[in-house]
Amino acid sequence: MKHMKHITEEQLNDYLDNLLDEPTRHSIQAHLSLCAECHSRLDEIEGVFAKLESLSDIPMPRDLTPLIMAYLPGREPAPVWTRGFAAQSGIVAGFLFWVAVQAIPFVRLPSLPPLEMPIPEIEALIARLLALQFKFYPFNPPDFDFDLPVVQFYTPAIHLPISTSYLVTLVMLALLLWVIGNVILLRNRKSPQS
Amino acid sequence: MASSHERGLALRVKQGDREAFAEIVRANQRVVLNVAYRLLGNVRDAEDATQEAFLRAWQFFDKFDIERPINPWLKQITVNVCLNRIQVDKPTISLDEDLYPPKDPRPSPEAHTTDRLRQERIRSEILSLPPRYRVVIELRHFQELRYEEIAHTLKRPLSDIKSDLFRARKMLAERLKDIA
Repeated sequence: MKHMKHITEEQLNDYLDNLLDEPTRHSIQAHLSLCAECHSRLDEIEGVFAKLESLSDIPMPRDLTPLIMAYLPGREPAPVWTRGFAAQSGIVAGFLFWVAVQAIPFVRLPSLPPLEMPIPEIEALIARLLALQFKFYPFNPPDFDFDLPVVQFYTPAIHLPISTSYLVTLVMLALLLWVIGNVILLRNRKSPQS
Repeated sequence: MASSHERGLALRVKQGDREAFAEIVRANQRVVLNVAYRLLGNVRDAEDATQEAFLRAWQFFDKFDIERPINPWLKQITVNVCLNRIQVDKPTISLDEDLYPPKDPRPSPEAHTTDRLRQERIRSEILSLPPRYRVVIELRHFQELRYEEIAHTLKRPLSDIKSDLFRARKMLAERLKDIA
């Protein structure tokens, strides 16, 4: 066996831990059947496995429950958000959304008066937006107008009157909720085991 | 996957039910104590570590995924508690010889003594290993974690875990050569 390449320490351990693929395992087995040196190294480590396995548990010296419970601090009940609960909530929310979408054609809204306010030209809107940058300029004339025009329109699907100011408010509200939601979700992400 | 009973208990603990937690302590204290005993080597320290591990578990129970079994989670908390203690304290190899003899009667007193001495010798050799080797032996051989899980638990590279485990086994093989 002088010229045979011996099994490495890592291969030997991987073999014992069952981490090798089938062809490598077979080649290691073949080598072990021929090489007394590697076989004795294997026996040595296998002996450690057996000795560790032979260790029995010590019996409980006493019931530690009363001691542990006596030192248990108070704790606020955590919100229960299990996978099952999350799935159920998702299904219910999805169903309600589907019902709402299906109900749209059957909803009869009162006929609305035509909106009188004309929709301004896009150039005018841009000019107003550009004017905003002078909002904090100290030498503005006193009658300088900074307000954006409020555009009113009907939503195409459900024919509800809405204005740009409502839209901006809704978007800002959604953004705020998103930020708050992320803060709640991402706080205390540290593992308890560290 | 946790059993439905265990899941129910965990759910109650999450809602702050102390009685449910007491039931978890009763059911798992022996396993936790044994993990601590193997790593610390004496019953008093193991009891303290057990207590600390359960207190930590209670404190962080809202982070526990109730779909998973509790026992491995508790064992990993215990390993971390013991690791902190080993790193802070001096290494101690003081096995309690007669403090807690096994309850089961053996066929003969001689056989009992021989087996007890053998077990004490194995335990003391594990305890004489450097802490990082001791911990990987505990996680691999007693908790049967995979290499990747050990690396994740100890927050160390996989290659380090493998080499520590190989060396730990080699050292034990050398030191326990004279034991059958």
